[in-house]
Amino acid sequence: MKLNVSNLSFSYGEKSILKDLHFSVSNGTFCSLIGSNGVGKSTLLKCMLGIYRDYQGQISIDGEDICFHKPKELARKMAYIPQSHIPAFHYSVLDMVLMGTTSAMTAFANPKEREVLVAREALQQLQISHLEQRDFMKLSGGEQQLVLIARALAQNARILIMDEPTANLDYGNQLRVLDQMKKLTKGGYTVIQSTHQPEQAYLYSDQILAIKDGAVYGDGPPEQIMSEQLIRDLYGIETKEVCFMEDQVRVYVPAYLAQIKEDKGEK
Amino acid sequence: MRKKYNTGTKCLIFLITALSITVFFSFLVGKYAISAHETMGILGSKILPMKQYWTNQMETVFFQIRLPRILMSVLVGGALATAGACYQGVFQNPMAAPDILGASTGAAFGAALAILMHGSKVMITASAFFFSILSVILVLIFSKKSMGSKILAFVLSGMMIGSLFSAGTSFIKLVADPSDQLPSITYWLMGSLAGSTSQSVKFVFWIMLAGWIPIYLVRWKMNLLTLGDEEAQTMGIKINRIRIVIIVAATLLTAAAVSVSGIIGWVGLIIPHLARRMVGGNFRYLIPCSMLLGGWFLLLVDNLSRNLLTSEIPIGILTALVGAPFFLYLLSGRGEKV
Repeated sequence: MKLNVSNLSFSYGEKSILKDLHFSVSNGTFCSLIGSNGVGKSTLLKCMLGIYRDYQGQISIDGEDICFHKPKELARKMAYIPQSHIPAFHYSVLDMVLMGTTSAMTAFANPKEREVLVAREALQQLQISHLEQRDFMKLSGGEQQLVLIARALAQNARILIMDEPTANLDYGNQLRVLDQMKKLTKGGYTVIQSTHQPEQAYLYSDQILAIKDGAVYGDGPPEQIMSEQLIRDLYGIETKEVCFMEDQVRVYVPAYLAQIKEDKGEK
Repeated sequence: MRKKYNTGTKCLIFLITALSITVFFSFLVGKYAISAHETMGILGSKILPMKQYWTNQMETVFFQIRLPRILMSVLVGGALATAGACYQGVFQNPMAAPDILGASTGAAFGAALAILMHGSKVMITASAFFFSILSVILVLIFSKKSMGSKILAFVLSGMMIGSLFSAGTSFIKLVADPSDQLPSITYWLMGSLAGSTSQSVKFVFWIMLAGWIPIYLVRWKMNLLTLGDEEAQTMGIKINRIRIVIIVAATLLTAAAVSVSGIIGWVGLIIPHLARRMVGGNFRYLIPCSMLLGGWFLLLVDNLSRNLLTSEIPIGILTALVGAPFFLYLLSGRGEKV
């Protein structure tokens, strides 16, 4: 499935958030959105998900404009994986994943054998079948995130949209979740995530979309996009680029590194 | 998974059995004694041809007084508990109760106004029902205009409309005749099922059915709604439509219950909590379980209210007396399950 965004603009009342965005994400791509706080990353994701519908411009999937889609139809193409958060009530992991199957059910139906099968398959795919009967509320943040990914898989959408999926997770869980997402793109899913970690974006993404002041500032494969210059322009901070492992890893260290060392030395 | 699903069904079967048994024994208690044997006879004679071995007076008490009252407590308890569970889901808040949108304060005002106007019993019920619905409609209109979070808008407008109506009720109490009107307003506010008749049972039954059917149908989607609007929408449901359907239906339940029984607190808050302990958070089981458990609970409490002392204790007092300590127990974390 190819996602295409053209001439997209969005404003909250007077305040314009997104200004004439153009980009496309093709099938099986891991795409990371980077940019400083408040540049409109979340807004962009919400426009794509159909949560904000009063935007100008066009968002289409395989040439079909999504603004004509009902929530139910859109849900079969795109799934949202929020940051792990505590729901108000206790749900078992299975119930949580079953909720993803709602868009495939008739209006007043409850999940039946078929839906349970779909949900279990999704849990299996992420290797978390053992959590099935656990209380979602009592899982660790990493496990919760994996369950939410399983729910998106049960929703049977091919485009997965994630708003800072690893923001609340510890280091190990961040990598575990990213690893699963990477595997999914190999299986033909398209992942679009927003992130505040340029190093992770570089390491995992096939495409990086840099947003600045509500417009696309850079769009392309990470090797071409990521640079000291980009970090400076996006975040207003001077860094030094360090490359490892035949440029598979790029790390940005603060340019005032010498100063930090000196300060430590004084203590 | 199998196990989990059976828990829900098992709880429902248990509750249906417990409720049926309690209904039967509720016929036996009361000032006018009717034995189990006679109860079975009176009930059975409606289905099978049978020789009458009970007095006509017994039959009158059975059908005119006891049966309506028993049915009414089950209906009212079930309605309040179901409405409570719905509001808690819609507002994503386990502390929400059926009066969150002002349905009870509206009803109280309506009832007080009708009493002040020397209205008949039917008028009091009709007026309570009307103002209960009116207050929720006002809340919906005002919250529609708000830009920010829908839920916050609902809750805040509910509080405002509620306090307007309770100011109105206080004013009516102030001007009411202290020799007869004021006591009957006060008594109404305490809640009682004493005046239940077969007419009033019929009246609320149809309204409650109209509220209960849509809730029963969309109960799975209520789960999605509790996760927040954005998540729910991206999973393919029309959040605004479902939310309105649930609010309207739950309001019908609350308004119907309150208009015939007065203010009976706590049922709508504690029963859904207790039901959640039994069957978990899934509304698929929570809704029927809340209804049955609410009906059972209120029937038990009503039996106490009419038999504990020589004169009736208003049931609202008893539900608070039972409800508040029980809620504290739930809060204390004992029985922490699910």
